[in-house]
Amino acid sequence: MVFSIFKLRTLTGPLLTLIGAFILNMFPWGNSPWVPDFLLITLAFWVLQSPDKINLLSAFLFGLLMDIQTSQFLGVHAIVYVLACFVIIYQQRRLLNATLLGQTFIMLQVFLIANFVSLLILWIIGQGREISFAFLIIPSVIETCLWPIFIKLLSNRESFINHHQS
Amino acid sequence: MFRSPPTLFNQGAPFLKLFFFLLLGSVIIFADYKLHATEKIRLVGNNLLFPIQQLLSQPGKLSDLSLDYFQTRSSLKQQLEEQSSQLDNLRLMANQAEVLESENSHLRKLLSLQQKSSVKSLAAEVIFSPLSPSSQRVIINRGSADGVKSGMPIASEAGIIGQIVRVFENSSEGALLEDRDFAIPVLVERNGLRSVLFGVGRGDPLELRYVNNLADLDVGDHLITSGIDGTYPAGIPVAIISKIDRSSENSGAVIACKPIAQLHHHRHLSILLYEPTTSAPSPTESEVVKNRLRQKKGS
Repeated sequence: MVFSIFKLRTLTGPLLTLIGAFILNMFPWGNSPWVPDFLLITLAFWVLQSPDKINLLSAFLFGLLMDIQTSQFLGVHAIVYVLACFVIIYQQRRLLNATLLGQTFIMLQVFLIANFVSLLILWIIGQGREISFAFLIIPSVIETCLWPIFIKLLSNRESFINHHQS
Repeated sequence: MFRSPPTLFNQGAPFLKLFFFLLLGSVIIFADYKLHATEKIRLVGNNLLFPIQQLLSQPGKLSDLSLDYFQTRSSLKQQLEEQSSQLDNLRLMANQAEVLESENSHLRKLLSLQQKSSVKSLAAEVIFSPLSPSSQRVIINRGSADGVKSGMPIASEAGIIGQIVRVFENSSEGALLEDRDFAIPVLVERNGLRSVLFGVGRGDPLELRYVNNLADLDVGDHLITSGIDGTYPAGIPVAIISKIDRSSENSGAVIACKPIAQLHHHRHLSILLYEPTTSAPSPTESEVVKNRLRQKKGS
């Protein structure tokens, strides 16, 4: 009982930032390739930092929410987020041991994979005949540029929470 | 730089979980795409998200308001003059239209055609356009509670913008003319040639298909709705022909068109609450065919 309450308390930090990132995604940015997916970056951070709290299940659920928000076919974002998170867990040791620059470079590949998979799914369904590659390259690059900033912001927040709990 | 050690250090990657979620995701996509079985989930989710979406679209509205507020006197005066002259013009046209309408209804009675239903419209506002690489959609702040139904046309004062494709309780989703596979039956205003206009995809010009290579078409011809399918009321401007390519490589002419209404720069639109009152009888059930069949049987 005590353990579950404790776990809930440690979960609120990641969950709050994830919901915040989702709301950031909900702003009326418009439909252009220049809009990055803030939720994907935040999910990537938490899966890397604390895979015991934020795992593939939360990635899947947030993906479904994102599908409803973008009125995409249900499951497209879910699959993309799950795959991205899996790649991060798979490469966890490399990512955590790398310098910030090296880590950002690996993350570029992760984001490229994520955006490629989302276009691939649309193409398989038959919605992607006219998709331009701008939607593969531009969001991936912007998300990669945002990665160090998000690390700074989110790890500050994490240390803040830890400080208050101890 | 990270203080906490990785917790899943010797657990390895969760291949089984990945497989499970990929399978589940594929099943859900299939259920949505082929069986349309997930509309309930979408409805519930959308009801949850809608208040936030509407709240987040407020800053844009606020900036619009403040811009309106700080308009200068001279510009207001100029606008007023323009509008009053426009109003005079419109009044004149309205008088003419009244005469024409009465004449028209009289003629229709003579021809014993069914009266055309007048179209009511509902003012609406765009909340946002969802991010998607494959489609061009807008979310509008009117839904089934306001009487909006799937399939109703969306228009601005200039012409058709698109069509409602999905309805929620307080909001609805509209596809723009540019959306891929968007089709709208049109006729050329100048000579009444009928055809179908298709959306090709993001940013590309619309395409007029199923037209003879030698058809009488010119760059600059206006296309209006023909009203044949019963989804769109007849006579609303849709597009202008911008380029005609009659090269012999293609079996037919490739005709590019530009939508008349500005598709992406509208905050305020109107949904035409148009429900077709007339339905064409199927050819096998028409009186003429039945009579002929009877005659054949008799002979």
